[in-house]
Amino acid sequence: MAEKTFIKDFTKIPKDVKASQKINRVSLTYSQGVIRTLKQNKAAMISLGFILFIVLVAIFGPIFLPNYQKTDLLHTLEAPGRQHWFGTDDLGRDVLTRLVRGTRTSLIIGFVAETINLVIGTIYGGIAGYLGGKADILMMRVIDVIVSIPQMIIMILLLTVFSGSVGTLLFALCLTGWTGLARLVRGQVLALRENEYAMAAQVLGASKWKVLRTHLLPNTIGPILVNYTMSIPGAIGAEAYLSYLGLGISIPEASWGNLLQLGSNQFPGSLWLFFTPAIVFALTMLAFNLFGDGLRDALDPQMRR
Amino acid sequence: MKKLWKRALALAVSSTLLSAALTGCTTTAATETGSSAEKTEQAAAETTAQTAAETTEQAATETAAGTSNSVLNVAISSDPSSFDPAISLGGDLMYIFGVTEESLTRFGDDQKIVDGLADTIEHNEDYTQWTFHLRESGWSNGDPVTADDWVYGITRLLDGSTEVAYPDFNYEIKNARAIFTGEADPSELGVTAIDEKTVQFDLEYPVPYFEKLLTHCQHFGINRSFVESIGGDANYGTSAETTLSNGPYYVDSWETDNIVVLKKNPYYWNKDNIAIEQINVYVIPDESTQVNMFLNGELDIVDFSAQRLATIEKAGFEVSSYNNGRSAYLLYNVANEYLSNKYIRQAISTAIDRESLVAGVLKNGSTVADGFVPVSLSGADSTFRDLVGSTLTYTYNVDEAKKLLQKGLDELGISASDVHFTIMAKNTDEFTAVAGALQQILQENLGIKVEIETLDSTSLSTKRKSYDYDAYLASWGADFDDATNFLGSYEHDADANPALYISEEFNKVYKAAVYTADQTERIKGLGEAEKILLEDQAITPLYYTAQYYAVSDRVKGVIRRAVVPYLDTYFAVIEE
Amino acid sequence: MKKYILQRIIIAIVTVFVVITLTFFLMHMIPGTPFSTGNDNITPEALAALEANYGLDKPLVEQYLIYLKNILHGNFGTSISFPNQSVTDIIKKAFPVSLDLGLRALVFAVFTGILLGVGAALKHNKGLDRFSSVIAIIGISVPSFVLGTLMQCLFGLWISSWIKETFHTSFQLFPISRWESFRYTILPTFTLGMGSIATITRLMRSSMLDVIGQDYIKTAKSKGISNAAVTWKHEVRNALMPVVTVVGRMVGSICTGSFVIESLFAIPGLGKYYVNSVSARDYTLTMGLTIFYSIFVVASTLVVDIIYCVIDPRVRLSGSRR
Repeated sequence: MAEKTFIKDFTKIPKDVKASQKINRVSLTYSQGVIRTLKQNKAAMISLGFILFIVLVAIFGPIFLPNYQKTDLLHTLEAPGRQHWFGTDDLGRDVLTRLVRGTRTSLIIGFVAETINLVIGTIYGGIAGYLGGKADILMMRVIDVIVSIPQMIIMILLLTVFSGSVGTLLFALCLTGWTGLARLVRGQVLALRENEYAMAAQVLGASKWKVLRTHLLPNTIGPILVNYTMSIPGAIGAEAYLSYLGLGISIPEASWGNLLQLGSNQFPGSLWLFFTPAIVFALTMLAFNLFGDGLRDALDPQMRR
Repeated sequence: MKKLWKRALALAVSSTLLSAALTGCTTTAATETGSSAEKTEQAAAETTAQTAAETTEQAATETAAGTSNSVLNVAISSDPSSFDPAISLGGDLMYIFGVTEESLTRFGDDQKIVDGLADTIEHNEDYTQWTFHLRESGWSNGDPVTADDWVYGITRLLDGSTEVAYPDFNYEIKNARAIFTGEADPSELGVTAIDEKTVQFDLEYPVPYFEKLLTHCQHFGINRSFVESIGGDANYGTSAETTLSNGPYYVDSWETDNIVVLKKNPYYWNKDNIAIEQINVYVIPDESTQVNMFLNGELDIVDFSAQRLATIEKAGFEVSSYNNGRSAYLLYNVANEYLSNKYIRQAISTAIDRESLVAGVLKNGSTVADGFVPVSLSGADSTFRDLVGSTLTYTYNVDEAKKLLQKGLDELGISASDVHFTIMAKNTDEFTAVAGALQQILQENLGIKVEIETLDSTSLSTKRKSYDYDAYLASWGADFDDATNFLGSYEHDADANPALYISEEFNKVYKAAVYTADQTERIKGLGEAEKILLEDQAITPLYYTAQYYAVSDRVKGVIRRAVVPYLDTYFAVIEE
Repeated sequence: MKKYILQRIIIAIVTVFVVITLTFFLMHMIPGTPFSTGNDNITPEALAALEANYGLDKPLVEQYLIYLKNILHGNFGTSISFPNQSVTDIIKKAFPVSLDLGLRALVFAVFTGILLGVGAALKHNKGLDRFSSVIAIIGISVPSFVLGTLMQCLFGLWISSWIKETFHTSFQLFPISRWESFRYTILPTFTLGMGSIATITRLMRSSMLDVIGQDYIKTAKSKGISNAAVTWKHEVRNALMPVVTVVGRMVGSICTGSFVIESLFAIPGLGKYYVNSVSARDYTLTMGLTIFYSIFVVASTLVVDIIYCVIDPRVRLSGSRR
């Protein structure tokens, strides 16, 4: 009886070869996967949003608030109010206007310096890694020497000799800043060079340059991107540090560094001078770091689900 | 439990390893630079000793019964760099000199002169010969104070044996200038030791205010035998050991850029009336740090600018402002290609809105300058300014300023956008802010480009002495209570003329005034000279400064004056 | 291993040489000499004597060689703004203070960083992990001078005055500045250590997480070794290795990081002199201290590298792989 019922309840389904071979999970390319994982990371997305906001402020803000050098000696050190949302500084300049202008200066320093480093580092590291052998050893020794030079000291020295303009700052930041990326790229290239697909491409007659361009570099882009994101706050921070020593961008120009310096100098007195740039600065540093973290996690296939 | 200990130990070992590694590398570095381990140890021992001393001091302060065993904490903003009165003229050092050195006369508890190391003072009728009878008092090494100290102290400033900042401060003394320029022998100087305790000054011209002049450090006595014992003039004042004091305190120790400890001079004549045993003078460049230290009870006296007023008042301290007898002005280097033009200088003066500067930037009771000599300086019966009135004609008027500028530009054949120069200023909050304001004002009202360079006082004085600046936002304080102190520097062309300014007319009028014995006529004459100086705009007066300060509750009797020393703790007591 | 150490030493020497050369020629790009520009007070003879004293009258290459020789003899020249003191004197006096501060900050940072990192890894995604990320975030995103100012006001002023008012004592929590007794060192050490804590915590955490996932840890656990023993003996010990390298590199950054801290807290260390010399345009002192700092940083990194090489066989075997 029981057996009968059992058979009755189940029906046989004919074997469907097509259906069994169907992949239910949506097929994703590498970059689609990265973006999907990144989107799931709330902290990284909020950070990205903040970075975009800050970049927009840097680009368009000074157009709406152009008078960042305008002093008003009769309204100095005024607390935030309707007239001046973030108050005024010791010469009656509007803090909001200066902050917006400073955002532009500091972001320019951060992005431009790291972009230059990126270009130099990628080229240098790519060449060293690809050439290998004695050329590689020699090029890496040069990097060893540059890395051993304490970066901050050399920047201070450079800015003591040359005046603190955006150009000098960029030069100082790029003089030693590219080595990290160069090492990274070289390491990646070296590892990838041993891979079969590079070798296959070469065997099939692709030129060395073509292998480098179409196979090797694209695979190193991930770590490079992470490194790039993570070093921008470093460059911005260096400017702030140098400004504190009186070597960065000097007043009446505006940068986060000299705003922070003015703020901490006035500290327990005029709190708005301190906290407005400090909060914006800290949030930006944080955003770049969190976004960098998220990007790294997203790029790492092992971390991805 | 045992296991836990093991684990802790493992962790401790691994971290010790780290520190061992680091200590290892530091030793390497030390040997590489040639400093032996022994010396490092010595330094460490010194630090420990000092810390111990500090602790006992603190304990002493806390348990002090009454006021006799007490320590006063004050701050200066830059290192003294030398205790030799010949070369050290920084405002910061004046406080230290005020308590470590005593001249023949000194200040009482106001701006009046009282007897110093001399207890009897005589002068002839036309004020050209002065005789001083010295008290029984001693140098901090026990040597008695003698008349020869002044013969030596002033001779060494003039005979080229040492570097001198302002030799002209002694030019009223007979033959002083001739000796300095090498035309007379040092033995012909008008300072004579009549006997061990009597010193006589012969002067070039009548100086009715000679007693006032003597309070300044360029008239201090120096102990000849001590200088010889340390190997000559070049070593004097370079360390605590090579400095000798005849005032109520002596320099007990001096750590460069850190602290100067002053202790009571046991041989000083009035030592029983000096209440405070020890003064710690900290070198703290940053005003905000000074204010924070004061609020935290680490300093007893603090000077501050207007933006910190609210903070200090909120903390419950009584805040005062005093007229510090300083005059702030723009000093031009007339060798500069743009600033050599008189009309451009006049245009700058006319473009500056001094009212806004005082009311908006300074906000500390400073007043608009209507001349060079500040309001606080004495004239004949009243003050100098009461007698002379305003001498500045180039006051704020933007249209006038533009006209004057155009005149200057036409003369040079350039346009306003070509004009650019740097204003050098001291890196204090006050001067940084004022320089920033000037930069803005000149850019807005005249369309000329101005850069700012802020420096600490040491490099500032180096640059000033070598005329390595375009314009200098300077502030001159009264070294002694007479207008010649302000105007004298512009008279001659050789020594310390800060602006390289030469005007025959000014020289003539000034000299005529100086040789006048009648005080009212003399002051009026000096007023005429000031007018010429400001017509030429060799300097552009900006404001007469006032200064906020606060004193901790435990200290009483601190004196602030419009003349050096601005801060005087001679009469101060500590009430616990 | 010998080859590796020798190679590191050669690189260190070359680096120091490059820094000296760079410093020398950069400093000589400044127009004029400290004494020249239109000084009417100095007679030509006196000027010549001064310049001869500083070797400024000789051709540049010769000056360079003289300078090189002097440095090899530990002679960094005389400071312009402190005419009574040679740069070497200043280094001898001020460096021990900086070193003291640096070591305190480093020890503080290493201990706290490792503990926080281990804690964060063990309590992955729980309270302690969050707490340590907050610390790391502060350390990374707040510059040291901002943090220092905040510390001074928070602990030196506000909390102190609150205690004074509430308990009517003259008790002082922390002094605002200067370098006297232990109490004076707490705030600067904390401020200086903060940046490094962040780095060490993050590194320790990821390194721990990495080690925890390794097979040998699973093996150890499956053998029945207690959790605590696995944690301290296997996980922490293995996870420490990358941290040690970073700590070695940190010596340099802690040294330069202390520049600002020293001026902020008025600590009479080398950093305060360095900052002062920069703002005072005291070129000889700047030059001397730059070279001294570089030698120090290069030497300390070298020593750490060598020690690391001795401890960790993997470096020894793979030679120059780093």
